Amino acid sequence: MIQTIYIERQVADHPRAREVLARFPAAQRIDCDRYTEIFNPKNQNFRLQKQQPALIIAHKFGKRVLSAPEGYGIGGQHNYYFSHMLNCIYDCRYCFLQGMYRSAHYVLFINYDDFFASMDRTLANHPSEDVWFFSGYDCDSLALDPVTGFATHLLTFLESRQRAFVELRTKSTQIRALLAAPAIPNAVVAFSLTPTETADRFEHKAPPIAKRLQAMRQLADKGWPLGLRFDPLIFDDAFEERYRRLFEEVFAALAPQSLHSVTLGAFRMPQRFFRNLIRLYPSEPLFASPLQNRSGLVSYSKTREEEMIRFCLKELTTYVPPERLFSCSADTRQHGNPPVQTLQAAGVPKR
Amino acid sequence: MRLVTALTPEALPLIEHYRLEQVDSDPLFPLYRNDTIYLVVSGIGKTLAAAATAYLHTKSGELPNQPFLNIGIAGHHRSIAGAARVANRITDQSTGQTWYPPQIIRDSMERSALITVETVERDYAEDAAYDMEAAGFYPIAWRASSAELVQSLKVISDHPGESVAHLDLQRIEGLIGNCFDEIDGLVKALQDLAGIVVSTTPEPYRLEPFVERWHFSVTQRHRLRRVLARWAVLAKGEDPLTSVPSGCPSARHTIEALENALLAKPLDLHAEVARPLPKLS
Ligand code: SF4
Repeated sequence: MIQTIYIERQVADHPRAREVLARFPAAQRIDCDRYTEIFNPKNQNFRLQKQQPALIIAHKFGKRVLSAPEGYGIGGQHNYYFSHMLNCIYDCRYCFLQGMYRSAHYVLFINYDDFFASMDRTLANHPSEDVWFFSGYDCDSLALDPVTGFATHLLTFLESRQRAFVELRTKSTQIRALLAAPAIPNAVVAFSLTPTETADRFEHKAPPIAKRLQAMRQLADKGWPLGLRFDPLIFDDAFEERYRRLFEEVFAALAPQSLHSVTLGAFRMPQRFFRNLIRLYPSEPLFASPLQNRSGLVSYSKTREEEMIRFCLKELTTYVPPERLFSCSADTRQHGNPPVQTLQAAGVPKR
Repeated sequence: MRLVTALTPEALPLIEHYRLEQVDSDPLFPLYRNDTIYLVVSGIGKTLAAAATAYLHTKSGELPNQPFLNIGIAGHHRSIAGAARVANRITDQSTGQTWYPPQIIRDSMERSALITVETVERDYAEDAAYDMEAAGFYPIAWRASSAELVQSLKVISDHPGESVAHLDLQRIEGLIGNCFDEIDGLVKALQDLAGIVVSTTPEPYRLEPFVERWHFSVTQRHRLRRVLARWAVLAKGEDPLTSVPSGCPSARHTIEALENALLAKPLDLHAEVARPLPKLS
């Protein structure tokens, strides 16, 4: 699947880089100084690169753990995010990464230990308090895990840091590393779900909803805390019917007790990214549908968004205790840059 | 499709196969074309290659997202004369600047690093191809198009230890001609790739009927353009003017009328299944 691998010269001899290279013996290898030479230049077309993305193996310098926006979280006080990868093997039409990055190549930062050291420093800044780390903003947390092996390293790190909580956000079914390890309470595996037809229409190359639910069930059986992420909610005339059916399908497959948290958020995106998306997909009806610029974020009108969230919350409360439900709105988001979700409790006490 | 070669013998097999005709009688650079392909002959060296690429872009209408392909002969560290190589890294030896043409096209062609030198090179110290134009061609073509659509294909003509005396014009023409199938495959693949961008842009509605009737500020023109672009997607075939009341007093009301008309239309995002992307060769 990967035909081209760029590799920073400084990590060429890193054992993990060698392992990754060995998995793709037929791929052409191109040495470079910094991944930014390939990833950052202007006049690249994300859509064209999605035809055949390359893998870039790189070293992450600078800040590896960043503060999540004010108000972000699923109940925790201290919230951070990190990205051991940039970009994703799936091709969701609504994905903000298409608007944020110029390149669709996958960047893998292989200095995992530096990420963990940064997490340790962050933990030390909050002595005796829980700290949340969100993975999966600039990538899908698990989709490329068979190649990266990141989850196994992360779980080993988390086992001895009970104050460190991690959300792994995914649409993938690459859960082998999780199934092979004993479940730990401080790693929440959160699956993004949309109605089946919506997933078929917009989430290209991602596993179908039924497969995601199957993966969730396997994880639940092993005792992993799970998250449900109904985000983005996508509106059209059959919105209520589709989402009602989705919730039925989800809760026919999953016991509510296995759920750590359920979050909701309507489609929304910084305007700058949205403009890029229109440029890439000018015929996409989703981007032509009624959306508004609400203080720099493109989303549905406030009224429509409230209706969508209200409907989903009402449906979901028949399945899930309200203290596990969270929603977010374009108005609660102050940041034009990812992480793009600022969650607030949906009128219910936070966990 | 825009082709750039340094020498006439490199161009001749292409001119013949694509039935290209000379464009101007007294051009700055020799320029040839058919309905879909333009070709310029730059002369030797990166400065001329850069100038000819810019000339080609201008003369071919300055259209965005056009594929550009640099074709020519190159020396190589290895003894692989006659083989075609697509550049996966282009380095300007004199400045050290490097570009990485994205490797999007799936084909069986071999790739190679390509180093552009100022004067004829005979050592070929690195495991790379050596030419004299790509570093002039690439940044200009990239600026005119999109990185994925700009590639350089070199046919290997010589290697260290081999005399270049035999490299006469006829041999150069033969080297390129013998690789025509590979060249043509890459031309078609680049055209298909460019087609993805070009073919999915809906025909926009014209602004004129609106700006002739109402006065739009610059910001309002942007809004009008956007709502008409949405109209082209959601209400294809319907005349947007029919949704604006005849007595509509202002540009603002006109835009609102169009937006409200779109809002009132049924919205089924799932009806139109995404078109599969064209297959790349
Ligand atoms: S799974 Fe997430 S990161 Fe990947 S393409 Fe879809 S929205 Fe983007």
